[in-house]
Amino acid sequence: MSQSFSRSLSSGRQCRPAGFAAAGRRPVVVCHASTASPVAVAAAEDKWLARNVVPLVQSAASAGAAGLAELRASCQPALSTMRMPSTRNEEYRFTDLTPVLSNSLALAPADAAVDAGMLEQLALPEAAGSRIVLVNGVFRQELSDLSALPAGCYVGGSAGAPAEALQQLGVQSNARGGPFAVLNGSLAQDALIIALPAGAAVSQPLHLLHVSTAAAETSSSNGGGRTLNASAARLLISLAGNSELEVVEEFVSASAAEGAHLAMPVAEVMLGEGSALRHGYVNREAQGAAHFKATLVTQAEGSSYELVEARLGGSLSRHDVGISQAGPDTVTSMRHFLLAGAGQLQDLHTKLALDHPRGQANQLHKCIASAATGRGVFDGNVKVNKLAQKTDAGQLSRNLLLVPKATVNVKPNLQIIADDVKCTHGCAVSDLSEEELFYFRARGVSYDQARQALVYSFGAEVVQDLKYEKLVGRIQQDVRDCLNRAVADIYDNPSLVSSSKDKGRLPKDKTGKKGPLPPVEQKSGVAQTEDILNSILPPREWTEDGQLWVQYVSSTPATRLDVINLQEKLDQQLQQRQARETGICPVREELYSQCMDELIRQVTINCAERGLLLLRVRDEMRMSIAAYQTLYESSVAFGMRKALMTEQGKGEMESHIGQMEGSVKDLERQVQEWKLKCEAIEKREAERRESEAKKHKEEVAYLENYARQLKGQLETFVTPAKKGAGAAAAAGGQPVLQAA
Amino acid sequence: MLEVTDLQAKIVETGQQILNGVSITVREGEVHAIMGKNGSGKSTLSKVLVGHPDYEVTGGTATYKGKNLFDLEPEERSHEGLFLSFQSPIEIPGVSNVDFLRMACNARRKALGQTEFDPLEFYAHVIPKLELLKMDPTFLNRNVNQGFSGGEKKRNEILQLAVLDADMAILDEIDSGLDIDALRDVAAAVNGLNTPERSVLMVTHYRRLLDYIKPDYVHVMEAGRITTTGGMEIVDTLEEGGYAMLKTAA
Repeated sequence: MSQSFSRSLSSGRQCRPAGFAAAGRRPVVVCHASTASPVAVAAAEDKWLARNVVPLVQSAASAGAAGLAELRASCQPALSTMRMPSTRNEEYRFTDLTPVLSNSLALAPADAAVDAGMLEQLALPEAAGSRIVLVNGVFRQELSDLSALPAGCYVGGSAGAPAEALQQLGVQSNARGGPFAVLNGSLAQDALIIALPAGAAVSQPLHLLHVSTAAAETSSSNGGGRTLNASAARLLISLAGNSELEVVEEFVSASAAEGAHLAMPVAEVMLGEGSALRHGYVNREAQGAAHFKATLVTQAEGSSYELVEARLGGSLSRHDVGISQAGPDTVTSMRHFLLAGAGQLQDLHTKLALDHPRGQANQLHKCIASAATGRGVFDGNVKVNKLAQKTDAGQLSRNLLLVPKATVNVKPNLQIIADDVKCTHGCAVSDLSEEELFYFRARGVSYDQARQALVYSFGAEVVQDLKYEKLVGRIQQDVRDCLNRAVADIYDNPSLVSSSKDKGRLPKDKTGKKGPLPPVEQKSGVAQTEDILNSILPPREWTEDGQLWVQYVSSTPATRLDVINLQEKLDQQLQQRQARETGICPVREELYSQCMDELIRQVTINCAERGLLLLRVRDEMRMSIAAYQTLYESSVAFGMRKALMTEQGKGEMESHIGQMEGSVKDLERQVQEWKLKCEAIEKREAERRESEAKKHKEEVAYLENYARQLKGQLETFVTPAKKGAGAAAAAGGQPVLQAA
Repeated sequence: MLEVTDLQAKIVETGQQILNGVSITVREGEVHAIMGKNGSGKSTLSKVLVGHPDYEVTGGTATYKGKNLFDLEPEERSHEGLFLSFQSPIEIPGVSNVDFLRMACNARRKALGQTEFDPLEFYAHVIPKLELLKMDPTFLNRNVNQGFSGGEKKRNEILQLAVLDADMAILDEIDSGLDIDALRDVAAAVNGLNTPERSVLMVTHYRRLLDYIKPDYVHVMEAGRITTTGGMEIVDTLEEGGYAMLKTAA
C-alpha cells in the first residue's frame, strides 16, 4: 500500500493567497473602482490564461449583469499578472492541474436548456418553495421556486440586491481567494445574493442546485484536447445580526455521462453578530468534470458557521475554505467527506484563522481512496493567534485506503501562538480497523459484507449530517456505485504518456505530451469516434514508479467472433462468480452492465450516432432503475418509521389504557367509600332521629302529664271552693279561715 | 456441545503465552461460570473460542457440536450458534443498530438455509426481543454502540444474543459497569432466553450475577489454567477470603 503522508504541527509558513503565492508575487490588493468602467482586457502573462480565459472575459462582460462590473475590473490586474499554479507551488503540490490546463475553455451558456425531469428528481421535499436552480453558474428565476421565503429576505441576482450586501461582493475573495477565485471574478456573469435582515430566520433549507452542461463539441485548434464549459457561480450570503439560515449547495452535471465542464464557484459569507449559517455542500458532478470551489467566511461575534461537505463527483475537484474571525465567541464546525474513486482527485484546503478569544472550532475530515488511481489531498490549517485566548479547537483527519497504490496526502496542522487554549488534532491513515471487522465477523457477517458496511458507514458519519433523506440517499447511492464499480475488461494496454524521475511527484508539463493526443495522421472521423468513446468510458490514468500511465478505450472494431467470445465470457463469468439467475443480484447486474458498455463501444465504432443513442438509452434505463430503487428505499424507510411510530404509539396507548383503568378502579373505590359513608351517615341520622322522636314523645308525655297534674290541681282548687260554699253553710268558721 | 482440551494460546503481536492448557466441557443446557484473578486468562479463553485474530492457538483442541472449532472462520462459528458477548463492545458510527442486527440475523439465517428477513419482517422479529430486555424501540435507530452508556452496550450485546438465537453463549463480564437494576434486567433476559438446549459460559468477578443466573459448575482460572472446579460453594469460599483462601484450601 503506497501512501505519502506528511504532517506538521506548526509550519510557521506565511499563508498567502494561493494564486499569488504561486506566481511568486506579492498579493495585489485592488480597490474598488468608484465607477463601473468598461473592461479593458490586457493580455495575461500566463499563456493558458491568455489563450483561453482572456477572450472569454469580454464575452462574459457583455453578457453579464452590470452590477458585476466593479468585481470584474478589480480582478483585472491579478488576471494579467498571475500564473496558473503547477505542482511546484506548495498549495498545489499534490494537485496537478494539467488535466485542466491541457484543455481549452468555452464560456458556458447561461441560458442552456435543462431537463425538467432531472430537476424534479433532484428536488428536496424539505425545500419546497425555497429551491434555487443555477445553470452554468447563473441564477435562473424561471426554474427556481422562492415562494416559501419570508418577507424581508432577498434572494436573487445582483440587480435589485440590497446595496450594503452588494458592497461586500469581492471583498473577501480579492483578499483571500486563490487563482480560481480570480478567474471567477473575471468570468462571473451574475451573482446570487442571499441577504437576511437582522433577526430573520428561514425555517427551511435553501436548496441551491448548480447544474453544469458539457461543451457541445471538441475544439480542433487545441491539439485535440477537450473543450471545457467554464462556469463561474458567484454566491454572496450576508446574514445580519441574529439571523439564521441553512443553505444546501448541490453540484450536478446535466448529463451523467458528460463531464466536460470546469466549475469555479466562489461563495462569500458574511455572518453578522449572533447569526448562524448551516452550509451543506455536495459535489456529484459527472466523471471528467473539473471543479474548483472557494468558500470564504467572515464570522462576527457570537456567530456560528457549520459546513457539511460531501464530494464524490468529478475527476479533479478542489475546495478552498478560508474562515476568519471578526469577533469573539464564534462557533465553527467543518465536516468533510471525500471519496476518490478511479481517476479522481479530491483536494481540500482549509484555513481557519482565530484572532479573537473564546472561539470554538471543530473539524472532521474523512477521505476514502477506493482505487489505485484515486487520490485524496487534505491541507487543514488552524491558526490560533495571540489574542485568541480560551480557544477550543479540534481537528481530526481519518483516511481510508482501500486498495494498494491508493494515495492520500494529508497535512492537518495547528499553529498556536496563544498560550491559554485547548487544541487537539489527530490524523489516521489506514485500512479498516481489524477490531471493527472482527465485531461484524463475530456476529456472523462475512468479511466482505462487513468491509462494505464499514466503508459505507465511514462516510455516513459525515453524510448523515446533511439530514435530508433524499440528498443523503443520493450520496449513499453514489458511494455504493463508486465502490462497486468494477473496471471492465475493455481497455487497451496502457501507454506511457510521460515519465519523471522525481519520486512521488506527478510528472511536470515539460514532457509536453499530456492528455488525449491522437496521432496527427489519424482522420478526424476516427478522432471523433475516439472522443465519443472517451466520453462514454473515460481513459484511466495512474502513476506507477513515477511514471504516468494512461489507458484508452480500444477503438478496434469488433468482429462477430468477438461478440460470440464476449457472450461466452459473460456466461463463464456469471458461472464463476456465482451470479443468481433471478431477482436482484449485484454480480449479474455488474457483469451485464460491463457487457452493455462493451456493446456500446462496438456499436459506437461502427456508427457513432447509434452509439450515442444507445448510451442515452442506457442512461435512461439506469436512471429509471435508480429512481425505483430510491422509491423502494424511501418506502421501506417510511414503513419502518411508521412501524416504529406504531410501536411507540402502542406503548403510549397501552400505558394510557393502564392509567385509565387505574383511575376507573380508583373512582370505583371512591364510590364504594362514599356509599359506605353515606350509609353510615344515614344510619347515624336515623338513630338520631329515632332518639329525638323518642325524646320528643317523652317530653310530650311529660308535658301532658304535667298539664294533667296542673289541671288536677286546678280542679282541686276549684272544687273545694264550691264544696266550701256548701260546707260553710254546713260547718261555718272554717271557710273564713281558708279565705284569709 | 463444547469440549476444550489442553488449549494453549498466545498473543500474536507479543508472543506472550496466555493460556497454558485449559480443559473444559460444556454439555447442552449447562450453565458454567469462570472466575479468576485479573490477567488469569478468562477473557482470552472466550476470545480464542470465537476466533479473535489477536490470539494464536498453539496447542490443544476444541470441538463444538462435533466439529473442530479452529477449522471454522469467526463468522462460521457464529453461524453454528456460538456467541460471544464482548466485555467492551466497540462503537461503529454510521451503521444503525437495526441494520447491523438485520445483517447479522440474515447472515445466520442464510447459513442455516432459512429465508432472509426483509426490513419489516425483521422488525416484527426484533420487537418482542426488545420488550424482553425492556429496551426502547428508538434504540434501533441509533448507531451501533455509539454514545451508548455502559449498561446500554451490555444490553445491546444481549439483544444481539437474543436476535441471533445462539446455542452457546459466552458472556464475558456482562455484569461489569451495570447498576443493580440493569444487572437484574440483563440477568432476567439471559434466564428468559435459556432453554434446555442452550448452554452458557459466563466470565465474572462477582457473586451477584451468579445469584441471578445459577451456574451448574464454577471454575476458577489461574495463570492460564483451570485450577478448581466445583459448585456454588466455591463462590462462597472466594467471597469470604479471596483467591488466596482457595489456594490454602486446595
